[in-house]
Amino acid sequence: MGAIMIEYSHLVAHSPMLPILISLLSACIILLSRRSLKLTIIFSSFGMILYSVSILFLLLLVQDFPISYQFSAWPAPYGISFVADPFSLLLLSITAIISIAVLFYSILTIDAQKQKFSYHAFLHFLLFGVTGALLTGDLFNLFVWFEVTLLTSYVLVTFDSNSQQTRAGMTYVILNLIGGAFMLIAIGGIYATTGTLNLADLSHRLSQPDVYGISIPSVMVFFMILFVVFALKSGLVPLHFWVPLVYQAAPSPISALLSGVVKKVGLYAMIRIFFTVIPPTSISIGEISILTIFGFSLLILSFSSIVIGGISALGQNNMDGLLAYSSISQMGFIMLPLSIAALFPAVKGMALIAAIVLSLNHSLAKASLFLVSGHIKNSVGSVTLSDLGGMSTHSPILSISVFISLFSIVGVPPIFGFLGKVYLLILSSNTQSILPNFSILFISVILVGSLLSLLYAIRLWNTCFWGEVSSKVSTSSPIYLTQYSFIALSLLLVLITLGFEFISPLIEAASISAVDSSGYIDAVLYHK
Amino acid sequence: MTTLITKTAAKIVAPLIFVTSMVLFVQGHNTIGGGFVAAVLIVSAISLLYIAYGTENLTRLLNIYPSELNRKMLVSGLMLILLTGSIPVLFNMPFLTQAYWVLPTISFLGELKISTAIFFDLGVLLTVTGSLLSILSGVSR
Repeated sequence: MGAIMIEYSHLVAHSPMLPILISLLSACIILLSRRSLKLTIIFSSFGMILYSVSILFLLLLVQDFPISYQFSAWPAPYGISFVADPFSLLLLSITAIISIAVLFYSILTIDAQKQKFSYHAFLHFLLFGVTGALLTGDLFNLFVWFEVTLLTSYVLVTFDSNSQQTRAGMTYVILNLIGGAFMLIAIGGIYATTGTLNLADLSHRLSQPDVYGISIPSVMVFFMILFVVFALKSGLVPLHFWVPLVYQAAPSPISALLSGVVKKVGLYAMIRIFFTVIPPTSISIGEISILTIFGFSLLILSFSSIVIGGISALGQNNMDGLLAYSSISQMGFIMLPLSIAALFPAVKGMALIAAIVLSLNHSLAKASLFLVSGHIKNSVGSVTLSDLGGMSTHSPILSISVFISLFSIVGVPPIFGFLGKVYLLILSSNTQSILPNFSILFISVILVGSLLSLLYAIRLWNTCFWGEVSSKVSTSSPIYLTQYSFIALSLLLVLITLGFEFISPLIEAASISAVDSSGYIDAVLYHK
Repeated sequence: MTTLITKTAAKIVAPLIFVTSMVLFVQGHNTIGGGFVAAVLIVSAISLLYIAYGTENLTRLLNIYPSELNRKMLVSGLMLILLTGSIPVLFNMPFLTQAYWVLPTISFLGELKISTAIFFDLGVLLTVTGSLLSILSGVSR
């Protein structure tokens, strides 16, 4: 009995490190078992299950305050920290859920030769990178984990190595190399001006810039460079042109993973740096604080994303393209509450809840829709809108799943996305007491954006799922088993909506921990 | 490029590069050097031999199918990294914790420190060598 107790405490002590260890180990074992498809699939699924269990374990363990882990026992500001808090764990759970669906879908659809050719290994390496980025407590490590994620996603995006993928891959690689270089410059600058890279220590030092002799203008410039890099990763409008290229070219399960998981890492980094690390008041020149600059820039980016993404989605004649542009527009909706939170600190708590709810909704629904698009590509042979028609009579279960996900993204009541949009509208009207003109602007942009989303959703629904059965659809052979991957995701959306009171404490804890700098500092530097 | 001059030069330079890389590898745990630099040097030596003698000759000489070997090197390096990282966890110390022993004076070498980090470095060396060589053989085909 005693031995078991000790082992359980070991497990607790090492828990923040378990997910990355499991994903790396499963990737290595899969690389070794390349000869046999059966072994590869067994190890991959087993690794995925273990990974999800480890995250569930962490989720149960971390209730309100973050827990930290120091690699190689070097104490906090010097060694590498890993921090698991409710916010990162919420995103990790979504990562695990979407990856299970994607893995299930990939096993059934990717052809055997390609699965043997390290597809599964790269899937686990991608998880390895994402998990590291979500858990790390060190700015330079964040860069490294970003690179791990990107390197594996380069391979996965160009996995079929046809001309379309090579072209998209080139743009994606070059853009991210430039982004990575700028991120590295910014991190070097932050290290030179503040003398630390540990996020908790950085937050501590930035709250007393005079004591540590930090030059505020240069720190502001470097953080704004970081902001631009994160905007590139999450595909906001002036930096969005890689999104439609990559999402249309990549294999569908990879598009699902990119839009549902990898894009959210940029969002996570933005929230972590600008709300946890940067203290609300101390970094300012005169009246202008860094959060004001951040808030205004993000406001412009998210407004233009919502409008330009929505209009471009309307003009697409291909399901993948429509989903990709819709993803740009929805990313604008997710970022909008963040800019409100930066500009109006009084409504910060609610703004973060809105951002998290919208991001959860978008992750699940968009991943499900990309899997649907892949499924249609396999069964009908095309995702061009004019080739499709009458899918709802041909495959009703698929259509119900699409209906739920599509209209959850738009925010049609009573599905989950509606809650996000309601939070966003209440939030905008709450800013009225502070700056009345702004709240009208917010509400009108949200309404215009939602109207655009509704229009493209209806267009997709009307052309593909209603109307007469097109010749390609009627001759297509139905595939049953892969349907469960996206049905599960949209069913989850319904379940979350019905049981919102059960998951709202999780979302609330996540939003509180995302802005709780002192809790973060205490957990990492003082092990409270 | 397979002139007599390159062949002769490669014959002399490649062993020197190997020795330098080994020196860098061994001193890596507390001075400049380490698994990554050593691996890059090893790969540069091998690529020099490739250029001088051609890939086919070298493959026949070493009697191996290179891409298979490279992949094995890569995976075993990663496994070694994981293993050396995980052993401290079994003793309830954080992942990647290292230990070192100071060996008594051995004549001219002076005090010799042996650390467990050298196995980690060996893992890095194998991983980097394996991946760089597989890139090289992929590009040279």
